[in-house]
This record gives sequence, structure tokens and C-alpha cells, in this order.
Amino acid sequence: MIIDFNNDSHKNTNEYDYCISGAGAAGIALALRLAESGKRVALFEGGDREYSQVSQDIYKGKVTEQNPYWLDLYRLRFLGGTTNHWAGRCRPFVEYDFEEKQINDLPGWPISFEEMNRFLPQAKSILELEEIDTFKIVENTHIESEYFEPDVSASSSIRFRDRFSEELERHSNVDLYLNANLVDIQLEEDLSTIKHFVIQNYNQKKQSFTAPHYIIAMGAIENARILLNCDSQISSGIGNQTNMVGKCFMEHLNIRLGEFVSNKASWGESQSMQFMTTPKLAKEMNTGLSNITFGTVRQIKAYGRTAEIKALFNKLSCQLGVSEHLQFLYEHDCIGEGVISTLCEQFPFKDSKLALIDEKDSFGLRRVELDWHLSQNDIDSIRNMSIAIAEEFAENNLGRVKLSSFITDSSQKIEISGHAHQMGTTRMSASEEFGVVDVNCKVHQTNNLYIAGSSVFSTGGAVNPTMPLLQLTYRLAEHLTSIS
Amino acid sequence: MNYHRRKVLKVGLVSLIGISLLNTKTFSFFKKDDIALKTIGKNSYLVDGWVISKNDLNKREFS
Repeated sequence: MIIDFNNDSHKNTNEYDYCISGAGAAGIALALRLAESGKRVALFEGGDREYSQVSQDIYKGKVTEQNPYWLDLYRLRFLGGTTNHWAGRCRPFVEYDFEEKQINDLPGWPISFEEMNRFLPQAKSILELEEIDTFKIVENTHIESEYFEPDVSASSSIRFRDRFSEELERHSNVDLYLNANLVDIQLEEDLSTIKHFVIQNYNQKKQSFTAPHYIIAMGAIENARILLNCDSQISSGIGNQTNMVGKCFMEHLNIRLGEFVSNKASWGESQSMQFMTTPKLAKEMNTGLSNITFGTVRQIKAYGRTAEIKALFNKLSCQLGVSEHLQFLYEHDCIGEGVISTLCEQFPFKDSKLALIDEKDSFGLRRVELDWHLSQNDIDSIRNMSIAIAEEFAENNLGRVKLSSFITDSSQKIEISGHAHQMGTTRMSASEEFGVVDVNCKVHQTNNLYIAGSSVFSTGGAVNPTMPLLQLTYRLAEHLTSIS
Repeated sequence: MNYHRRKVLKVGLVSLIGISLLNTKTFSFFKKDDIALKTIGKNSYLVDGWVISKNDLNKREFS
């Protein structure tokens, strides 16, 4: 059943086995899986069926000058969450992501690759990617490098709102509340057991919902923000006794490494090449993993804000025949033939963090300030990887790379932007000293509060986060059904 | 004869000045043999931001 919390009040608020806040990919997948096991689920979505500015404004916050970021633009706050505008690229973590390593004095994943992989079939199924056997599609056999391998990620066209609205509507075990915002989490006297979720609509109506188990699945910024805001019973917030909530914010680093010219004999007719760096490179050069795209100008023109300007130039050139110069500009706006972009791993780092500020949202909850920070390990990783890639590019005679000056000149600041992949703010760790949730995604220091989504990632790897976060969601569902 | 002698002297004088200036590096940018080559990786070099391999160094244009 789908209930508009702006209009209807729900009298019996303690009939549920699970309360889940957040109806994005993780929340919807979890609710449906738990409901399949015969349990009653309340699923709360802060937004409506469609985008609304009043809901989206809840995401607003500040960002330090360290690196630019747009908290209220990247994610979407309505039914289906950010899958309403995602590109759909999917790839699971690789084995190397789960190898034991200590970076910036923080441990990596406390679970194994094999354990994570147990839930790959379920994640593939909900994304309708069952037919994908391998996520490595090697087309360019002329490349022989130990440092990177050609890669094409699978792509899912699933928009969770469109795909699952009907199922949520007719499922007798799920009540989906729209316009239902989690504004407080109340604890029992033991300060370890969650007593109820306080849910509020946009007309200031509040209602408490009670269940044996509670899950927050609101995205990496909001998961941390609600825990920090719930400070009426524990001054540091829920699950934050070791001051780890909001720490280790990670993104996938998008860096314009430079430009390139290609060797046509090696390149063929390809307009772009996408590579994954290998664990061998990561180990030898002390780098994170990375997904690197070499895109030719011809391909690049199809994307970004310059596309319209280029299209205009093209139209003028072709239709009016006014100037060969316009055509020249259209074809050659980069040095060389294309640019290199990346999806680089950012290492967990405590100084990359969220903190509450005095400014409040319309529910009276304090907003956050993001201090997105690279560690020296990240900076070294980016420079080492860039040089290794450029060197391999030349040795394989794929072409030649001109690196950006901030790569070759260590006195310059590396220019980064994100991919809207927010991760790590409630990271998983066996010990509460280094994380917020345990191996079962249960918040340390609580008995019945769990977190779903990419905020629990211990490390971010170099793959789009939706597939791994769904694997972890199904793992959480298995755990919850096993204990209740 | 005077005309030719003057011309030879003039060309000679200009050439002498030119060679002297080049030797004092005033116009060293005319010389093509001072490309800055910096070792950047295990087997690679940086030339004006471009990364080239050791194999590239064996080619005429980079030697």
C-alpha cells in the first residue's frame, strides 16, 4: 500500500516488524525482500512520487573551500531516490578491494570478497542484469599491459520508482509512506535500543512508529546527518561515541589527467577506451584502483554543457557554410584528440568529513558542512597512477599523453570533482574505534538500528556504488530475517 | 669593386655579430637542441608535459 503521509494519519503505528527510512535503491530492495519473508514493513520516503523543491531543499548544506561540491544537486529526494537520474552503470567490487590493508591508519573491509559475492546474483536480478556473466569485456586484444585492462561496465536502465511503484502499491506486507520524513530517533532508557522513529510530514504533523528493528537508508550524507542530529539523549548523537559518524566521506575522484593523441593503428575506429587499473599497479605504485576513460573529441562533444554550443557551431557551419573556421573550432577544441577522465578510488580519511552547522532545515534539523579532503596518500596515488598510465600508453603505442600541469608539478593543487558517489560516512568496521556499523550493518552501541547504502562502505574502490550497495542490502536482509 | 667590397664587409660584420650573440646565448631560442627532458617514470620521460617512452628516445625526432 502507498500512503500519502501529508493527507492520511496512520492509527496503528506499532504493527510493523521493520521501519525503514529512505525509499531509494537500498530502501526499496530491502523492503521488498523483507516483505517476501512474510514480515510487515513500514517504508518512509521523505519526498513524494515526483520531484519537489521543498523536499530537495532538505539536502542543502555548506561546503568548505577545500574542494567544490554541490550537496543539493547530486542526489534526488523523492521516491526511487537518485535512480531517477542515474546513468545505470554497474560493476561489483573486485577481490583486491577486500584484501587486508591499512590506509591512513584505518582498516579496510571486515568482510570477505566471497561473502560479498554471495549476494551478487540477487543484486544482478533486481537490476535486470542476470545475463551479464562477466564485467570485463575485453575487446581490445592488442593491449598487453599488466597495469590496466580494457573494461566496459554493464548498464541497468532500472528506475526504482517506475519499476517498483506498482509492486509496492499492491504488496500487503509493505506500507510505503510518502512525504514522511524521519526527524528523530528515540532511544529506550538503556540508550542502546531504539524505541521509535519520529516521522513528520510537510504540514508539521508528527507520528511515532515502533518496530523491533529499524533501518536508515537515506544516502551517505543524510544517514550521518540524522545520527548526529539525534542528540537529545546522547549529546554526541546516536552511534557516535567514538566520533566516527560523518568521518571518512569518500567520492570517486574525477580528474582531468590530461589530453592525448592516439595511434590510429592501435585505436581502430573506437571513439573511446575505458580501462580499469589492475591490483598489480596498485601494489607496485601505492595507488588506489581507478577506472579511466580516454574519450576522443568526437565522443566528448555528445556530453556536457559544451554540447549545445558545439551543436550550434556545427549547425552554422553545415547549414550556412559561413566559415571553415567554425568547423575547425568544432573539431579541434582540445589539445590532441581527446581528454582523459577518471573514476579514481579515494582512500578513507578521517579529515574528509561532515559536521553539523547552526543553520537548520524546515524540520528544525541542523544542516551539515562537508569538508571534502584528500589525504597525502590520495595525492601520491593520483600522481603515480597518472604517470604509470601515460607511460604504459606510450609503451603500448596507443598514443601519447600530455599530463595536466597539476599532475607533473607537485606544488600545484590537484583539481578534482565528484561523480555524485557519496560513500563512507558510517563506515563498516569490526571495531567501533574505526567505524559506525559492524559486519552486519548494525550501528555499534545500539541493539536494533541498521544502516543500508553506500555510507557503510569501508573503502570505495573504483566501481559505481549501486551494485555493491545492493549486495550489502541483500546481505542485511538475510541477517535481519535470520534473527527475527 | 668598392660596392662589392662594402657588401662583403657588411655581410661579414653582420654574420660576426650574429654568431657572437648566439654564442652568448642571447638568441639561444633559435637553437633546436635544448629540449628539456625529465625522467618521470621507470621508463618514461616528460617533454613539455608529454610523456614519452624509452623507445621514443631512439627515434630521430626525440634524439
